[in-house]
Amino acid sequence: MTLMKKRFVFCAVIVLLLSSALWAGLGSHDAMYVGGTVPDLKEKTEGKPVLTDDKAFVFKYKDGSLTIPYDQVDSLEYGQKAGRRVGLAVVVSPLFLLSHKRRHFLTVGYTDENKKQQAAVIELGKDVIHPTLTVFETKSGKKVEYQDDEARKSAAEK
Amino acid sequence: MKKLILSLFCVIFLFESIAWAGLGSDKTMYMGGTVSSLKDGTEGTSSYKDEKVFTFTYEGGKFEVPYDQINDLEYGQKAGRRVGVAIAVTWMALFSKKRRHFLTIGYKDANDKQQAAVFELGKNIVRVTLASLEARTGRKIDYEDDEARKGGRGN
Repeated sequence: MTLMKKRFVFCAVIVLLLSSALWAGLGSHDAMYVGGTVPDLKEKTEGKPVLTDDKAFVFKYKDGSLTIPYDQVDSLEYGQKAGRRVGLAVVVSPLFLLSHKRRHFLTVGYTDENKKQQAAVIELGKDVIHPTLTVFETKSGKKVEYQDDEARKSAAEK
Repeated sequence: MKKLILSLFCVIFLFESIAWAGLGSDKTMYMGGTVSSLKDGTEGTSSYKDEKVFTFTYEGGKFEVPYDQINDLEYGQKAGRRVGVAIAVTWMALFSKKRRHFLTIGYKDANDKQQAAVFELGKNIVRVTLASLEARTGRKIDYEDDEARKGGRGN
């Protein structure tokens, strides 16, 4: 392989590595505990939402699980964050500034077993938004409060 | 020729980092208020992990507000264009907006005097901070307007 070819391959590998790192995000069926007041659960913990339990929402992560009984839920809020793909725009092409990347957040307010108010902000992968919101509404009897009409529409479409 | 390209890249990267400069997405800054022990523009990190007090930790100290002394929570935003990035990287950045997020905490101090502290929050901690403060204090956030309400719930 000539020196020129080697350089070309090296550059291509770097670009691919950078772009895959920039695309990296939450899996479409996954969830992430972004933060909140839940004791002993680290921020940005990734896991899976379990919606099959009749009594409680379960967030299963590598070392354990967070259980929120539906009858202890007192508020549900859903919001989105739409950002530009700035990283990709800088590394790959400025045209990426024209596309949007959306992140989906559900904030659950509930009282724990010690009757203390808690809040958990959970980021949802795009394929679990609609089922998660529906199950929460149905089983808790609380209505989801949407950030705006766009969030309502987007959640209904997912 | 190679030297020219190399120095061009160096200049672009230098300008780019300056253009991006701002509050870190997980950081908090004390913008101002009535807290005499804190200098305006002090950067640090905020935490709501403690069950009793909200903590702002900065280089050289710590500022704490007990949740049960908080009597007012307000959230607002300031939106501006990414002019720096537009100049240093690409004019297309002018199409996107940069938002700054401000949280005002009103509380009674140890001498029962009313105090206020305005914090700027990094974009990744807005939603979590607001939700946690609501849970810990039992108070609702007062949003500046519908745009702020949308931003506070969407971040």
